[in-house]
Amino acid sequence: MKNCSVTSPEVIDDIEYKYDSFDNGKVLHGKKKGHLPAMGWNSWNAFGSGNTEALTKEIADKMIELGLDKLGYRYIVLDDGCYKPERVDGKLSNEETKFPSGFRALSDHLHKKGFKFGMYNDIGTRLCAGAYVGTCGHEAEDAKSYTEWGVDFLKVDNCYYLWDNATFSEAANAKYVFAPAIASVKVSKIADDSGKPYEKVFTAGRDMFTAGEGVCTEEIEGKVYFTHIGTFDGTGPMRTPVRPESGEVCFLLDIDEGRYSFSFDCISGQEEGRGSWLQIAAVRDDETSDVIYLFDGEFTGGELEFSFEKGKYKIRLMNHRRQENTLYSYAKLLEGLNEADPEHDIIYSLCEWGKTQPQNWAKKVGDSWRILNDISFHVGSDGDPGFTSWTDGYTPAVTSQYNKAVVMDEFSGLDKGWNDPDMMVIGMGGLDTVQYRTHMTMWCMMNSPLMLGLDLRRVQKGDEIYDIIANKEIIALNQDTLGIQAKRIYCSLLEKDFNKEYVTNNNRVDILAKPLSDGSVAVSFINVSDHVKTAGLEMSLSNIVKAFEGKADLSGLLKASCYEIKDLWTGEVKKSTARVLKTGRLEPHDQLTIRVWGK
Amino acid sequence: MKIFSKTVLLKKEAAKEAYGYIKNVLNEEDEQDLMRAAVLKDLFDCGRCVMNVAQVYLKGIILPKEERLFGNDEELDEDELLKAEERIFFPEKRRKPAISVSIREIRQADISEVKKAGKARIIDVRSEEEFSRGHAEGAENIPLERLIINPHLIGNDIYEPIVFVCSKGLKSYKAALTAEEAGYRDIAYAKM
Repeated sequence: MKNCSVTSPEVIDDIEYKYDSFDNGKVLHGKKKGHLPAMGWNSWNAFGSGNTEALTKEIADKMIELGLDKLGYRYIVLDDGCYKPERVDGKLSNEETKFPSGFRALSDHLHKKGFKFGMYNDIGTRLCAGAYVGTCGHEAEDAKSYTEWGVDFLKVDNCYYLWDNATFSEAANAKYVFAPAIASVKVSKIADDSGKPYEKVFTAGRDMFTAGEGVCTEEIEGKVYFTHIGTFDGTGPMRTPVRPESGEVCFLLDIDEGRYSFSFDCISGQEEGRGSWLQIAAVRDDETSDVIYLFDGEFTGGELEFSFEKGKYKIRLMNHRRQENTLYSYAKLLEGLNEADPEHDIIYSLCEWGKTQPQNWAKKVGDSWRILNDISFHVGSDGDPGFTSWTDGYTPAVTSQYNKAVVMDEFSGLDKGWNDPDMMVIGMGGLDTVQYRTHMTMWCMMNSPLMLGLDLRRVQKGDEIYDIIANKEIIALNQDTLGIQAKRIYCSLLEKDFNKEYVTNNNRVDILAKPLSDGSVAVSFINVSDHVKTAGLEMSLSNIVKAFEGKADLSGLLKASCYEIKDLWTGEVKKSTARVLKTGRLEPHDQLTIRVWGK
Repeated sequence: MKIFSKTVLLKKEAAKEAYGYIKNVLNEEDEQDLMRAAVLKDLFDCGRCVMNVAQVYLKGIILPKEERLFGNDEELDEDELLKAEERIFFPEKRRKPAISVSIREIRQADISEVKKAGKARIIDVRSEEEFSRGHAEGAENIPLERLIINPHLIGNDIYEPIVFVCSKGLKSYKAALTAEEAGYRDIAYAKM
């Protein structure tokens, strides 16, 4: 196996890595399907880079004392801050003050206590906290190290990535992930014996048209150019995750057999929207043909030559490298893990903060994918719980993450993987108990990974935080074997498309529903806003059943003559014959979550 | 040097050490409403630095390179670090930035003034149909209904000056309220 190049983006010949294959249902390198969302504890929100071997062992003991291991919290993950800042003999090595016994010893210790062991790396050259131990170019050796240490879980970040303008990467890396700004393409037949000449100029806005979304039309020095031929950056809360996340520019050719020159009038650059890398593909207009990939490389202008058979073609000018490069890099580490141990079952947690719209491709290699920048930029340390918010103008807030994940239900599943709205912030400063409880409910309903991120030494059995993180009934929603993420079936700001319309205005109530493996359904009424909702909410069972037609068969609910309804936080059980669910008053940030069985 | 570990430090490293000292040794209260620091366009470039940079910026301990750029990777020499230490020990020497919560003002603007100044983004909140029939030069169209559902369509920069426009001043006022609630800071509304 060849490691990733550190000098240039990969030549990607295998179409299984290409954009056009993202939805073909196939996975790469035998990625295992059927994993439920991971549950456990991650050191980052709790201790930042201040985590140590000693702290980790104390946390493990505390998790056993609290019975959290029996509730499903099994993965203990060492996040950033545990390696020496440089490789030793080309290999990853433990920072000796913080992790004196080394990773194998810690792994054995945790395994003996019934836990699984997780570690952290990055597809760039350096980790986010700066250590020069990113896996780029070292995938084979690192996979071997992880296998030797008995690792069961890998979280892999995206800082210092070489082939995109990721966090700490060069801003100029944008040149790899955007096509140049294109004004026109002149296609002319290179003279041959057949005699019939051909020359046509395709111009932006006239006979060159756009496909997908995001391509802009800009006037630069009097000429019209198509710009932003690439993929939307999904790190921030601006962009919806459910629409096409990239755009292409196309024109139609109807030509005889021969060799043709494509002459581009374009302006290249090294910034978001105007790059220096072009992909060209041709699709014959009979729909049974494969795509012909003509060109995929650096391009700043000039002429290219291609041979064609007689026919009608749609020529696609595009750049999907933002997604393809990142997929390739994450796949490389998986390839390494397979080589090091063909029997491994390592959970692969992708952490590129939604930058490359992983909901489109991460299912080919990983078990979960982060969807946004971090939920907190002020993580804890020993003695400090850290800080986050309920709402924020950017990403560090519970609602910022929830708002995006809640419309991404169609991207997740047992055969794909899970949307990851970041690790949990229960226990952090800036939130109250009501908000912790709603946060836990949201993450469980949305089939998100449940990674605790607090100093568990502060928690006692029976206290407020314990009652939230140890709620068996709520955890059971997340770990239900049907593996179907909740759908938003109502939003007070919308009239339709409740589970597809991306809403970031928090002045609203949402109703989520989740079908479960025993034929019951969980329903969550969530008041996202800062105001009391005095008027109750209503949701009919028939609406819920209809919302899941084709996905889960809940029709049994409509055939029942009476219902058992359990409040999953208070434990109260009611019997009812009504086919409509009703709530009373909902406090700000609060929720009512029930499970309904038909009898 | 009493606080800083070296005589030359990157600004983001200095921010970390300075904030650590202020908080853990001097026990000072944190500055609240950190989004005031989002005026710095590079604030979120370094996730783990956000808190450190925001605090030293809002407290006026370490000064930004420009009004809207902190300069995380700039080097501070011994002289600059000593000055920062002085500002830590002598609060009256701190140079707090001039932004305040009151910047979140919604004011009625004269659209012709705005066009002349050319500095603000003009967002026309009428329907797509009305917009296509005629709009101010350089105006973008985000229909009010879309804006209410996803105010972040405006963009990731909460300090960029924006003027909402419509025909009567009612829709643009509602747009301004929605944007303000979503955290945008430099908002005006006008009728065409």
